[in-house]
Amino acid sequence: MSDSGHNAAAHDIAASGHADHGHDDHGAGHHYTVTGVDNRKFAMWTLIGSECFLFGALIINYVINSGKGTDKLTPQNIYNIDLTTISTFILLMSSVAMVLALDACGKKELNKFRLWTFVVVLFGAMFLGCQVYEFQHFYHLGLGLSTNNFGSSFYLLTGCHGAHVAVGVMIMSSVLIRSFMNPKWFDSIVVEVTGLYWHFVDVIWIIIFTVVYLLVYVI
Amino acid sequence: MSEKHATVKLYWIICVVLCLITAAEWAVFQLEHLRGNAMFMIPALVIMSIVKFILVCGWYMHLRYDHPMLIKYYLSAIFLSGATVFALGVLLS
Repeated sequence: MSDSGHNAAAHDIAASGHADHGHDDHGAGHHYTVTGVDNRKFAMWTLIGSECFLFGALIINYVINSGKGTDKLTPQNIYNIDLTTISTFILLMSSVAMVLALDACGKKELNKFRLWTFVVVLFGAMFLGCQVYEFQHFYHLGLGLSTNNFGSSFYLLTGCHGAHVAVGVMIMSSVLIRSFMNPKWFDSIVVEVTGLYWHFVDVIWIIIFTVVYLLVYVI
Repeated sequence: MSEKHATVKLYWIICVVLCLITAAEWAVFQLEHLRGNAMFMIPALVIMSIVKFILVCGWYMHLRYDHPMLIKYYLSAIFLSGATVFALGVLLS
């Protein structure tokens, strides 16, 4: 598409977006960039791009150090794949709840939106509960943050991911509270951007589940 | 907005596929004779992981329906971070 075409498309989307959302634009007109992409969505994709570097570095750090445990404290001896598989199911279910919340938000179905947003928060909290249980179990087995290189790299990677899930749970909780405080509030872009973050956290877990928990047994 | 999104039915179908792939990963892992077979396990687990990655990014993150620039943007980030990770791996291992 030519530049003029892009600008025209951006103008159309901006106009329709302004009319559809009707939310607070802080008097700045609209949130759309010349590309036609909402600048909040673009900012989230930029954050996601930078997070790829963060998690990439943490994953390769783990891969290099996972074999540097003591005899008893190796991944093969302490991992509980059944629990991790359940955690993965929980996070996948939270992702589908997230898209259903966004769908309900787009259709302005308040009760459904609240229900699916609550499910996202609940499953996110359940995932964190599983992670806390796993960390506690490993700690009782003798694997602390500074026990060996394997422990340090494992806690750093999965802890960083857990912190991202915790932030996601807090954001989704605030969205849920906002829907109760202002029942007419339906800003689908805010929900979509929050959803992008949540799905990215899910995508990172898909990689962690395979590389950190499963492949380490094979390699 | 003029953006198209997947239908609720499609979201559920993708959810079932994602759960089935995760179950397959777990099931393959439970088979003792396969667990030690790196030639089978590595490609199988990597392919299943990539399929899950594409399904979540394409449909749940709406990249399939969103502005094409976002796909290029995301792929660029993945490529650059992948190259950085590879360089770090070579440097540190």
